Amino acid sequence: MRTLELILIVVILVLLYASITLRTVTPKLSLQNDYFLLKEEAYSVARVLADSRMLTYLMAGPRPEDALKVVVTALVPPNREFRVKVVDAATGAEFVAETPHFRDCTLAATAVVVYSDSVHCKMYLVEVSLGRVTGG
Amino acid sequence: MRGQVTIISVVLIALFLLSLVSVVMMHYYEVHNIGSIEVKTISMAEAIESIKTDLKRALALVLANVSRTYAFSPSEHNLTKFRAYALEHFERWVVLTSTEYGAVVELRYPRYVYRLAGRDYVIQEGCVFKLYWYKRSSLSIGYVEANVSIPSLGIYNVTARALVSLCVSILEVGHSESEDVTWLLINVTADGVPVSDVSGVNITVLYPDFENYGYWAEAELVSAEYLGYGLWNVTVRPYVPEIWGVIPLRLYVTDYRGIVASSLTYEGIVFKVVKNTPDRVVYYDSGYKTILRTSTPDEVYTVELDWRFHLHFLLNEIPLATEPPPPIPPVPVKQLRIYTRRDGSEWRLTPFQAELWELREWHGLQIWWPVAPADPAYWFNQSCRLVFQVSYPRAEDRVVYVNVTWESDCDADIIRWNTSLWYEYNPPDYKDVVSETFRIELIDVEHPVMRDYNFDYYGVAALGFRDPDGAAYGPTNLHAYGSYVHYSGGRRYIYLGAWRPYGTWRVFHRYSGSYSWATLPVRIFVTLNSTRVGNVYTGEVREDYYDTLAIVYVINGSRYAACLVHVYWESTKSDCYCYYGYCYCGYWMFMSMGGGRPTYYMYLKAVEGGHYNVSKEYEYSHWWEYEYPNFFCTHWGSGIGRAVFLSESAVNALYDVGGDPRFAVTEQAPGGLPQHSLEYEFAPLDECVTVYAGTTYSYWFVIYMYEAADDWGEWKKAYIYSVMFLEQYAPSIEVVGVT
Repeated sequence: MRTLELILIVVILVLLYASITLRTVTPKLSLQNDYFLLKEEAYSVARVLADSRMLTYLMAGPRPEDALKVVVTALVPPNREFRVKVVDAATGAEFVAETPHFRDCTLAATAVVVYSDSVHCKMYLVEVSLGRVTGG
Repeated sequence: MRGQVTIISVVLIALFLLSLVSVVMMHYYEVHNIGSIEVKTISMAEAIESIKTDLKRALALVLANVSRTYAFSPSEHNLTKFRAYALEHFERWVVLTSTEYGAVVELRYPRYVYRLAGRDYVIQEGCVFKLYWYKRSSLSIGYVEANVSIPSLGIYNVTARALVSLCVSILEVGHSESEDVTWLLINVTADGVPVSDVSGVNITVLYPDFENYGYWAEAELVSAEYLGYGLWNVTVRPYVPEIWGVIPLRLYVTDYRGIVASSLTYEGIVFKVVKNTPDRVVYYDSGYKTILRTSTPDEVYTVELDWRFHLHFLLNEIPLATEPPPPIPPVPVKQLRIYTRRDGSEWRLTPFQAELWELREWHGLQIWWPVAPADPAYWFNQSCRLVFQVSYPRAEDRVVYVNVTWESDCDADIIRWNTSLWYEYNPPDYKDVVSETFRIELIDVEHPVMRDYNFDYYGVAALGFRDPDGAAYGPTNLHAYGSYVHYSGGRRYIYLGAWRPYGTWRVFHRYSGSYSWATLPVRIFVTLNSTRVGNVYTGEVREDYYDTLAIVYVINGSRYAACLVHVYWESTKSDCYCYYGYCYCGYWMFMSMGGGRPTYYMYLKAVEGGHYNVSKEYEYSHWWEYEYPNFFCTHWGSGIGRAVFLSESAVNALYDVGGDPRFAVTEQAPGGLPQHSLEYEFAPLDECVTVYAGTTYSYWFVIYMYEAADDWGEWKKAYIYSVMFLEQYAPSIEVVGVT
């Protein structure tokens, strides 16, 4: 009987320790997972931009930033803030489009894809950052 | 009761343990990041895949850039240069990729064989891309491999392979005259996958404009219907007629990536060059005698084929005897090939060179003038002539078939043929053009004194003939007029033929443009374009006599050199010096020194006693003038034989301008130098000739070397070739077919 009581006490103590530890560790781990998930999403958006060749047309248009914003808004999942930066590798010219609350994000991940435009003979760096506001 | 408490405790403990296990597992799971690894792995895959896809795009960019430029630029056809650009671009791409992905990328350009329709298309190691064009099937293809390592993500040595291609095949061509359309059934595949109408495709069709032969007009695209499986039915306007069994069209297809491939509906043009010389030649010597031309190993014509398929031989322009074939397409000259064969023999690749000619307005005359050798990287165009040789060594050889075709491999380069031709330029001593038969010193402003001859020409242009080993014959003068009188020590000295063409010979012995390293394999051509004449005795230069255009051909693999001359008189001249009832002028069409070597000479007399082409054979002694010269003279002995063939135009000019021409020989030059010359005079030296302003004549003379013994009658060895250079026997051209 005493043995049982002792075991019970040990189990309760271990559970108590585990619960307390989990409370501390889990958010951190979950945050890390969120980061990689965001990164994967960002990669997906960047690759869709590149692989669909739409950049060839977007960058040749009169206002590439606006066009980028429209297209990326349609591509990213809901509740995500984003920032897209396309850099012309030859000239260094930057085209940036971002959502108004992107700078409020507490968590953001960036994916970079190189895009070679064979029609216009250009090379672009496509940088897609996705973020969201966590906590509170 | 106690038992019940025990059971409850055990159950509780069990429940707690289960709970504990799940909590610990969850803890373990989170602590050891299993979930993170999963998402991280996806990120890794995304990174690798984006590198792979962009490698393909980078290759497409390179191929698009190359193929577009190669297709649409008339001169940029050096793929090696594009490969250097490609490597530079890949370098930049690698740097960017390394920076942005944190990846280590190592590119490789291995050999790759692409099999299509039973044929292997090879990309050689290091080549990155190839273009196989201008046939019915065309292919633009590129292949690279990349070794990718991203240490931060734990990725090592992942090999990414990128193959980019565009293949266009013309399957069928048809037309409808009533609807005024022409259609093509073509197959288009990109990276081995059919190119459908979903992606953007640009199709351009060109057809030869037969009203403006040689030019290609863009056809109006009526429709481009996608039939599935990469098949397209392209309809264009206008109706393009069938010529020699083909509907000649040029097709450019540009795919959604900007990669271009170009096909043609025909791959070569076959024609024949027909020998028109007789099988026998006749002369009169106490009766008409015949020489059978059974063996004529030196009957080698160096002909020029222009873009209208007119054949040019010396100043002859022989138009096509048949309907014109489709034009030679604007393919870079370096890709063109000429094959020849005689009846019963196999096709043999034949040396040729491309030259640029222009039709020049010269004192009211239309004169073809060689501008320069062509740039082999440039498209074949209306200014180009293909220069090659056709030979007829036996009497029964009457026809040589010629196939003008082109390589599909756009890396195909000019063939470096062995040639005996070279140019030694080291003025003022050396300005020599050398072949296996001649060493010709170009006497002119840069090189006024012929070596071993010590006679200053003061910039007068002449040709100093030598054997290849250097033995000199002395100068050959193109044209000379007028007398010059000099008083010295109370004595009067009269010099004849004073005014001769003055200027500088321009020598073309290498290709132009980026191919200036390559020597011309068939002939070196030398030009003189002068409005001045120089007094060969005083050095005085005048512009009021005559203008001269001259072209000299020094030919590989032949025993003759030709000189084409045009003369235009600027003003009326009557340079005649008379005293004590004797007059001296000196008006030569041609005079060639023999270096004192030949013993015998012969000239063909046009008429004597009602007989024509009379052979007059003599031994050199003193100076002589002979009446009624005709198109042939020669001298031989001391191991050499040298003949001069005149054109009919030259003979006509002698009679029309001079009125009373002479064939002349001189045993010695002034001062006793052995000479043994052959000369054609417009008039006897003691006859005054007035030449009027505006007088124009064009002619050619050919100097032919042959082996002759020290004996009478050896001239016949050369005489059998004299008809080759007469206008009426010039070779003709007929189209045989289009492949």
